[in-house]
Amino acid sequence: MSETVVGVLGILALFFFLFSRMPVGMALLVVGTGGIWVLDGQRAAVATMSAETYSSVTSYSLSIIPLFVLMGNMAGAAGYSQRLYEAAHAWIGRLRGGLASSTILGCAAFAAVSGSSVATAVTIGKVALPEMKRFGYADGLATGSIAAGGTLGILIPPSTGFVLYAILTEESIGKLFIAGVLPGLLLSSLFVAAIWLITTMRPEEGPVGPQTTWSEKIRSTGMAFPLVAVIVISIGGIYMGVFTPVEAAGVGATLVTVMALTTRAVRFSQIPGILIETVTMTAMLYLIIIGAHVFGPFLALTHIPGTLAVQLESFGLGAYGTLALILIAYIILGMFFDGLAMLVVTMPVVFPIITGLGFDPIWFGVVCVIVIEMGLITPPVGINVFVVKGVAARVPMATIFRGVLPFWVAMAVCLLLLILFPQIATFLPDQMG
Amino acid sequence: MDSAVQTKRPQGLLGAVLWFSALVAGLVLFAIMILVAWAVIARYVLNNPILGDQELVEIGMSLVVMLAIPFATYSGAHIRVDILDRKLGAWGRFLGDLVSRLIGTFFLWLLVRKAWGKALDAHEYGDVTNMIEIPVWIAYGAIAIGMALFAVLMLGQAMLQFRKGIKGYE
Repeated sequence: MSETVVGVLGILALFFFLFSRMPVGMALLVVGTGGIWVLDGQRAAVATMSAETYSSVTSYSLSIIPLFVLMGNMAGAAGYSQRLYEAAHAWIGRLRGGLASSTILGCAAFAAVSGSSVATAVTIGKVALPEMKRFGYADGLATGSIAAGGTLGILIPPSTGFVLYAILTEESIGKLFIAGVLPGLLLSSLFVAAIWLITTMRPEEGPVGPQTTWSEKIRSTGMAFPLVAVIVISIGGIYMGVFTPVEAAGVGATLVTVMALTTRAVRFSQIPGILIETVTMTAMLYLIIIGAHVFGPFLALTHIPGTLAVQLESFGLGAYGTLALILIAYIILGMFFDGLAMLVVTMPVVFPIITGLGFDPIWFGVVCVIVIEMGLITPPVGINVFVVKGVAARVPMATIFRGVLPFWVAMAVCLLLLILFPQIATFLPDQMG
Repeated sequence: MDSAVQTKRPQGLLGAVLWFSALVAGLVLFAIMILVAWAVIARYVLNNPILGDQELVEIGMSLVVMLAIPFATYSGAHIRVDILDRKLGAWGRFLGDLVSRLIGTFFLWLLVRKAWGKALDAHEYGDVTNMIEIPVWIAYGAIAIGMALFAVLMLGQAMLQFRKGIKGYE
């Protein structure tokens, strides 16, 4: 049996195991090890599995994951999401559709301490939804803005999506984080623009919010300031080269913890729950990382990435045609697959093709994360939509999916702008040297 | 990637033990967080960098992951693709889970044997990290024990599933 045939059978086996409900990380581990076993024997397969597990769990750079997850969980438990939302609300809540725009800005700010889309949608959703309901916002706009705003969690640094991409492609985590800043701000602006368009065409969907006084504006901004300071210190520290990304995560998590405990926003009795939530999520992510690290070498042995690249080249689509093909495939896969799982499964094949075509790997990381974000709100498996459904139980799923549609279009526009002007993603990391 | 994570201490001895193990993992992570922040202060403010802080983080992380992975399995936190669940029907889901668990157990067992062997070798030859000479058998031992618990849990789940039969899937 040729290596390519083994590779194709391996990929088919992977999909079989995935659809048979095997955990994603386990499926990658099993197929990767099994494939190397067939090609190079049991000894090599088990040695690879053991070596990759050891190098993954003892990786210094990977410790960024639990540290940033801890920072986000601590900030969420402390109710800092509420402060961020309230600050945004005080400034723009008065505008038409302002409460939905405040939701987007609150999500964007909370995304800067959280690497998770679901956490962002849940924490901001709990605060923003009752407020929008109180002012008579249309269900679709209210839930759509939360589901879409939540996706900013994985674009605006810190982001688990970027960490995973960096690990899979051996790119710099720091550069990817910084690369996400401008596209994150652009996408937030596009979301706000979408809300403005909706409420201009149908004003009844997003009535004006309450009037706030200057003292309220200043007070709420002051309340949000400490968390904004943590964001500036940790992300700014990476950009300025003061911290490594791991140090930024450690310092950020420590600052948020100290703030939360000293102001009694978090009680000591809550700490075990926060820690367990963090390490459980960490273990779940590490299983995927270990699996990916075993699956990668298997695919490399089969030469499938190279073969596929040659095949794609023979179609004569050119660089942008091939890129479009890959992105369309990602958008379709993202409708059914968990975004990060999709990244892990496809990156060993896609990344060599993309870099072979001359695209910037950091830029492609940003593009990938935006495509994953689209998957988070696309039916039938848009996880953020389910999360919002959890917060807004009485709103039908169909209404939420209709509500996210304008935001999905905003994401597509953002993607297009990134393809037309890659500098949006590459400008800041290029300044880092 | 995100999943609802159970954080409350479960009923029953097994759940409580695994929860406690995850809590210890959390405390190690908390210590790592403080160490990393302190290392920055020590370098910039005290002008006295901590020797071997990275090695402490590396060995510490092996404990964090491996002490938490059994609880993650127990609480069903691992991501799965569930889009075909309805199409698979009760029997499809039953067989899928059973096959996944048995195959998973087998491969984890291979990993446990190898990691345990590496831990014994590292202990026998006194393998240590470069700067502050932390024994590396700690990390291999953590992998062997964490993955062994993971495997035992999966096998236990498969046996329980087999005993209950299709009923739990209807």
